[in-house]
Amino acid sequence: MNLLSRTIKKKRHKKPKTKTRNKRQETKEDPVEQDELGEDTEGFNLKTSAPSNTYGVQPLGNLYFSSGSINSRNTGLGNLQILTDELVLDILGFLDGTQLGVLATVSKSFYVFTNHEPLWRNLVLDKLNGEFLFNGSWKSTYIAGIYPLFDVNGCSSLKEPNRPVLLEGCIDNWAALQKWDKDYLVSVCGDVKFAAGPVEMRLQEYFRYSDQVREERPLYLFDPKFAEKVPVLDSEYEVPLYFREDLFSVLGNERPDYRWVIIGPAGSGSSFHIDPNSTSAWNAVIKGSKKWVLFPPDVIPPGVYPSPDGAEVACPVSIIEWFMNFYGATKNLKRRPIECICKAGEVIFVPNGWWHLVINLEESIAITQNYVSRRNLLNVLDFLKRPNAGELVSGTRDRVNLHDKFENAVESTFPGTIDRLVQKAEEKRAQEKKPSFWDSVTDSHAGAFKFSF
Amino acid sequence: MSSSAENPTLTAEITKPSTEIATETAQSAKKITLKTSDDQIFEVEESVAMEFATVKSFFEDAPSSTDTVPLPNVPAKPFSQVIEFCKEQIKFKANPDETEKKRSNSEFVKEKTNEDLVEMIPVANYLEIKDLLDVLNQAVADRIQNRSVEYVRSFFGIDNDFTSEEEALLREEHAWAFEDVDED
Repeated sequence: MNLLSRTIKKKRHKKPKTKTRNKRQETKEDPVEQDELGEDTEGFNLKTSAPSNTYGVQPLGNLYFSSGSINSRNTGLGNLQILTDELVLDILGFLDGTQLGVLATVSKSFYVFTNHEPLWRNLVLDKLNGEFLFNGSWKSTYIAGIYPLFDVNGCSSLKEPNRPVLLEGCIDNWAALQKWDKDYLVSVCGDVKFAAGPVEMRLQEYFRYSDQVREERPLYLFDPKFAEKVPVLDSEYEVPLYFREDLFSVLGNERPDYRWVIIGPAGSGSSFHIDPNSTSAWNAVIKGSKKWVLFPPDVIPPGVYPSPDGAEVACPVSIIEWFMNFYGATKNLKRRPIECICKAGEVIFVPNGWWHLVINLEESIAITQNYVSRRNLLNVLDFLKRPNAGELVSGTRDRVNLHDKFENAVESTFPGTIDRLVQKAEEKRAQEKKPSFWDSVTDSHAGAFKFSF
Repeated sequence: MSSSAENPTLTAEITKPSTEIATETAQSAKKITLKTSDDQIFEVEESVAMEFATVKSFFEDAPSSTDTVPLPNVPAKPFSQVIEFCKEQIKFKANPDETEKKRSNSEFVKEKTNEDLVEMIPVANYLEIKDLLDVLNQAVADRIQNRSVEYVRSFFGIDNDFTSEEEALLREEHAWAFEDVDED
């Protein structure tokens, strides 16, 4: 449904690759050649993380091989087709970002030209000077800087609606995805100990435990300092493009804990909670798979009883217990949870304030990171300012002063950003009173509203 | 309403074959003979021709050359308009007046059709006339600034090659850009 169509596919390079392969195989029956080509998913791989988007643009010579032989560069440029690429870009260099955005929707050809990164680089440097937060590409940096509420990195479903999104293909370039298994982790981590429940353990002993254990609530390895402890782990993953903005980074060493490696056997997991400090999060599964059940911020999941001040949550101690006693009841709820399974190589976006439960369906290795972007900055500041912040705020020693420190650091690094966001938020509140996401998607005939793959 | 550069009599005057004109020009300023891609011969005053950096460097390499200079990438129609522009430009060289120059430049582009402008751009680029190239690029940019998608398509004669789903998705992705678009 709605969310399905929003699932992001980024496997751009697949098509041309298979094409050439078929062509070569048609003309050559040499088995050696085929073997070699068969390997092209492994071995040499161009790094796809850099925003060197090709938009399907191919060298002109490819036109000889395409049957239609229409060069959509020209049909999409109209009169301008007589100009060289450089001259077209020269003209576009005289336009502002807004007009480039409009032109991007004119034709495929214009889309490609208007996405030329140097154009956006100039606009960013010209308009924002040094006060920009790089956001994966210059274009999205520009959009985020000039239109804070559209801070989306080209992914519209990660912006305003604040709803979960499952992403595929955005960690394909992680070395971790190929390398991380139990043996590898044991070998690179050696005697380093990781937090597992109330204790610290070496991976070798943890895996010895998790391989044998058959209990209801297995010890769950959940370590916030893994990257500092074992730097090679840090080097083998990177923040997916869509989540690069990280405002807590202005706090330097004083930032609250924000990233965790998560390892656990089938059946381990976390029961219902809301992520700390009103941050949003992404969670990338490297091995195994995780079942997620999520409720929006204003719906308290059945069987869960948060204290009035939000400092404590009472809920069934084991996840399985929740599934046995309360899961069935969610089928009859007016506002049902969003459910999905996140498999290896996929990433789930968990919006701030959402209740969620996660259980490993098989032995899993994952990385999660919580972050503050401009989109949830005001929520985070509000949260840190609550009178009982000392109990609520987590992951840092100086809990009470975090609000002021954070606010000051953001203000000095990005002057005016907070005011602009406050003003935008007020305008927005004044201007619209539209039905909530749930009201708009749950009608009586829709039945189960969930992710499906 | 066509521009003066398209006026056939004027074009004819400039394009007189070089042999006929040679005697007349001897007493006036030195002229340089240029041949366009469509084999038209242009006699251009040296001071004007030196505005074309490409031609200028040709003469820097061969100062005494009296040969016809071939301009293989330059068709006659936009070239005559480029000459018109450069003639105006050299007036300002002797007597720099930025406001007057700006006015003259905007006057120049104002009366040109889109086609004229777009055809002149590669010529200005090839001849390396930096000022003209900037004026032309700016002029084309001005004509589409704050215009709607539909306007731009018809303005340049562009085929919309998006499916309606693709277009809707792109509109959503670029919603931030559609706040200031003028009505056509």
